[in-house]
Amino acid sequence: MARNQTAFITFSMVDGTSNEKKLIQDAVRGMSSAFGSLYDRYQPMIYRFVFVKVGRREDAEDLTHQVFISAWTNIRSYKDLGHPFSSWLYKIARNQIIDHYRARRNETSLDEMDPENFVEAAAAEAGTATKMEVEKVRRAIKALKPDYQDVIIMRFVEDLPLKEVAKAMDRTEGAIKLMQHRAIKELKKLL
Amino acid sequence: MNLFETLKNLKNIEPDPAFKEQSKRAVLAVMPAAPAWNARRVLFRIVETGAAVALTGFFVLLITGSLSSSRLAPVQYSAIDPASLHAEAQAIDMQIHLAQLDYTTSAAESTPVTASAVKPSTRKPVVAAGVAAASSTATSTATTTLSLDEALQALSN
Repeated sequence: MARNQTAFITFSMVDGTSNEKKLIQDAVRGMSSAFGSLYDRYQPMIYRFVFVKVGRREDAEDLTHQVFISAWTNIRSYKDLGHPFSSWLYKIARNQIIDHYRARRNETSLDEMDPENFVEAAAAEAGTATKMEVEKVRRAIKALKPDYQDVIIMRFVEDLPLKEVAKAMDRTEGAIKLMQHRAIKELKKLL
Repeated sequence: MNLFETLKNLKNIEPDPAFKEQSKRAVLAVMPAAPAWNARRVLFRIVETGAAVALTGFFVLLITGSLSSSRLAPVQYSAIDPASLHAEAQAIDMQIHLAQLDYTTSAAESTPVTASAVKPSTRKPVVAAGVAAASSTATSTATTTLSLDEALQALSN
């Protein structure tokens, strides 16, 4: 029974990977429906990544939208080098966030100081205590260095493997391991 | 507070479904940009196409050439068929020979033998003039003027 279940899971994963490859190939050829499927699959993940880093729902929506616009308009230059598609999207998202902060460097955001700014959906199914905890952690993450933020989100929120995070951040797996250790240590200090 | 558990809770963050749909429609309404053309890419394309055409031509020749000796050949190439080449060569040789004969005959008729210095006893018919005649004339004092064609004809007989 357990063996059958394992075989089914393995088959599903292989099937999912090949299906994703097909979707990517079709999207590169310009098929909008294929890119639409990729959008459905990756949009929540990118949105979370952006939201935790910028802290404002409106900004997160704008930036997520920009990430996918940029991905779709440049899809024909995408080369499948064996890296996950999400790594490419994360790279675009990181660049969009850098541009966003560069443009807003001199702006003072009152929203960021507002404790009610946190999106309600973040802990929709959790109690108030959990909601407060989550908000506290989110704020602590935001206080970290951008690279530490990225590692924490990708590794501990999204559960991405080291290899994928390394590709998204253009670092070695060893560097990511070291970075995640330091990031957690820093985060604990902030909490 | 368990930090890792709390971090997992951040996964509950979801985009607004209305925003998701609206954004998706807006994204897909944009046309993807064509890849940028540069000199390297154009050169690569030219080389790629040229190589493909050359290889295709080579293989077509190779396949049809190897089949031409068999009866199954869809196209018969006379140029690479040894039998037809041989027949063609034979025919050309024959034509030259006949033309030469005709020329020799006409040359014999039109070119008189300068027999003024030749004694009547040593005069021989032109047709009989050959290697033997040539050798006999070498010992005798008589000289016979033959045309080059006649001499060659006589030698070949």
